[in-house]
Amino acid sequence: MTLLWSALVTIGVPLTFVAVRRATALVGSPPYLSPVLIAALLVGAACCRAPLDIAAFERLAAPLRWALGPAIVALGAVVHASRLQLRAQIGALLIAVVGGTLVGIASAVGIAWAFGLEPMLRDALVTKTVTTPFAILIQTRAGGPVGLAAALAVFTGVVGAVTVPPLLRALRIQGSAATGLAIGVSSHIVGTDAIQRRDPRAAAFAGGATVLAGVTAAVVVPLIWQWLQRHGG
Amino acid sequence: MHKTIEFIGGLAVLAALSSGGALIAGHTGIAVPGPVLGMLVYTGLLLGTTWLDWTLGAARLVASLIGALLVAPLVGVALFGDVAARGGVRLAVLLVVSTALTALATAWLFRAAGGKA
Repeated sequence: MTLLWSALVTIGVPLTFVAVRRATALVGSPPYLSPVLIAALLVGAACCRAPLDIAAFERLAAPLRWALGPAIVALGAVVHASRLQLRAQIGALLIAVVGGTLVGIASAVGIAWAFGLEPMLRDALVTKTVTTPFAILIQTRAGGPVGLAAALAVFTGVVGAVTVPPLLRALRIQGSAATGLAIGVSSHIVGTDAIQRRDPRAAAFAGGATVLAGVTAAVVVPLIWQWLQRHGG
Repeated sequence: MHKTIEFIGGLAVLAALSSGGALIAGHTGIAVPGPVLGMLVYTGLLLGTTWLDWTLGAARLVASLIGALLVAPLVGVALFGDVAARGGVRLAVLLVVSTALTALATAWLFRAAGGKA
């Protein structure tokens, strides 16, 4: 019976995502209609209707969690596709991506401390500035609140995709490279997907920046997480 | 038929690099997640050689469908719904301000380091 449920989850969840992505494409794929978020809400609602609690669902979804590893490796193809744009200005690009990622992590943790948010939320916010697959991987490795961190990473992407482009325009920050990098680091996959339709060159920078920011965070976050565990209380 | 075999082979390479990265991370105690190590090796091989160019078709397809693999972990947020709700407005403000700061810092650093638009 467990095998049947596991097969149902392993096949049903990706199919739900594909169906939702096609449905949102019909209305122009606006960034606030994240297919990942909507599919998760639908699957969560289905769990409530079925005799299946969320903890049991997470166990049944183990094959999907495993598949995330090879999918992360596949992101190397994104960097490969952007290689011409990335190589041309590699020094400035690395400084911007690494610096931007560190500002993202520091600002999230710092504001969370200033606001007095509870420790579990602070732990989850450490990875809000990296794309969701990296956030899940980093939190799983660190033993953090994976579901909460994944949700915050998706929300961050949606917030960034909606607010960052008008903010950059208002401050007269123009050019595909600067815009793409800013969106890639701050709004990851959601922002990259949104800008793809308006400025493909900026999207190439954003895609590469998304992956590089994830790698930066994968190195830095475990250290910050350990520090938070010692000082978080 | 040849394309199908190439695709399955590509998936096998991705899985092998992910597992290899996990093994190295596990044995050496490196804090970096194993699949990220695998991705770095894969990216290095793609950029430095043409050995794995035949896997690009499979990798691009998997990368384009990565969202499907994020749904299941996101469902787990229901376990933390009360924690997120207690964050309320403070959490919303944090997300907006921190995201704006990240974007501006990235764009500013790129310009300051001599990057061209």
